Amino acid sequence: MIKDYTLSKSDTTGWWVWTCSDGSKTGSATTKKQAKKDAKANCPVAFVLDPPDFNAVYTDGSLMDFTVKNLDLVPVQYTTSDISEDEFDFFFGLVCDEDSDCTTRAQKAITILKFWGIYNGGTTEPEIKTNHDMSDTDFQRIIEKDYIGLHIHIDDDVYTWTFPE
Amino acid sequence: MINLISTWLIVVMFFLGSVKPPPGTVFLSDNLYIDQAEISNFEWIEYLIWLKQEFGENSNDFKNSIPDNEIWKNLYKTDFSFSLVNNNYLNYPVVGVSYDQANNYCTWRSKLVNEKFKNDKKVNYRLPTKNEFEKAIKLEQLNISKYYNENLNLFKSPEKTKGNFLLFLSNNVSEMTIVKGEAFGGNFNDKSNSLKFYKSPEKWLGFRCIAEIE
Repeated sequence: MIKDYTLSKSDTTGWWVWTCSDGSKTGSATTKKQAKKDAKANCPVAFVLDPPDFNAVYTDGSLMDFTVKNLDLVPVQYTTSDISEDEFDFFFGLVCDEDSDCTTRAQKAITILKFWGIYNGGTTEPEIKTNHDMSDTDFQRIIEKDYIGLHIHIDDDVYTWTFPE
Repeated sequence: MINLISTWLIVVMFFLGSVKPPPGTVFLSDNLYIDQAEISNFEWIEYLIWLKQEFGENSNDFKNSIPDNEIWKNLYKTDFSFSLVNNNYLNYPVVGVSYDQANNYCTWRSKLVNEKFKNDKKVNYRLPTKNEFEKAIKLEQLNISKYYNENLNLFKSPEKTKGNFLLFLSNNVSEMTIVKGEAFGGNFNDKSNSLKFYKSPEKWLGFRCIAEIE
């Protein structure tokens, strides 16, 4: 995640002042921790999206549960009821079982967005595009996993996708 | 035995003398501490941010605390900017501020510092008297010429300054005393440490606070 705010300690009050890097919002708090929290809650967020690290547990050849690091590099645990084995396989480039339908385009997008921790609802392709301000091309590139170096900027639930040339 | 007692006394004296100065200040005398430098644009913006956060952008508290832009612009050659981003003058003294605004700032600062340091002794910030300025002048002795900005004819306050030294009493801007209309200290036009007088905000006029520990 790209830090999109700055914190400065005021020498004259001892308080911490936070300001979004784009200058859109500012505030102050008694502690650095609180200032950071306020900044995170108020400033637009920019991400550089890369495939996350994961760690999966298989029992008798079936996926049981797995952890995936989100954009803050915090491991998040999932079970196959959260994200199916097919979706998991798709995301990490593994081959689907022959008797599986693999996964739909919408499910692929949901999986990726969930892993990144920026899923904003929707179950169908149009809903996902609307909820995440995605163009047809954005959607296509995401489900094709053509997203290395992609930047996403989120401000007040408005998503801006910038793909590398 | 006498040696033991004197050692103990020295230790006690050391700890009594090493009371942590209130934020932004250096020791002046007794229970008095004075700001190391004039209140800067950053610190004034911090004040505005708090007012905006507390009372809203359309409140009189916020609007009435914005410096006089014409005065500010006269010195810095650009409009006063409420923003902390890409602001080249954050560490220069705030000007365009009235006596009442400066007093309000000191009162507000007391509130914030006492809130943050609840377990410490209570601190009251206020404007200094002429006598306190005169005492402070005797303590000012540091050469900080590397922070001099020839275009502005002003010194920039070094960030995160450490040490028990005072800055800019005899230059930069003259500073308001506790008496309305009376200012002390040299400025970019007039380096003399004589009393100066004003009726309204001036581009050569700023302020710093005294912290009085109760």
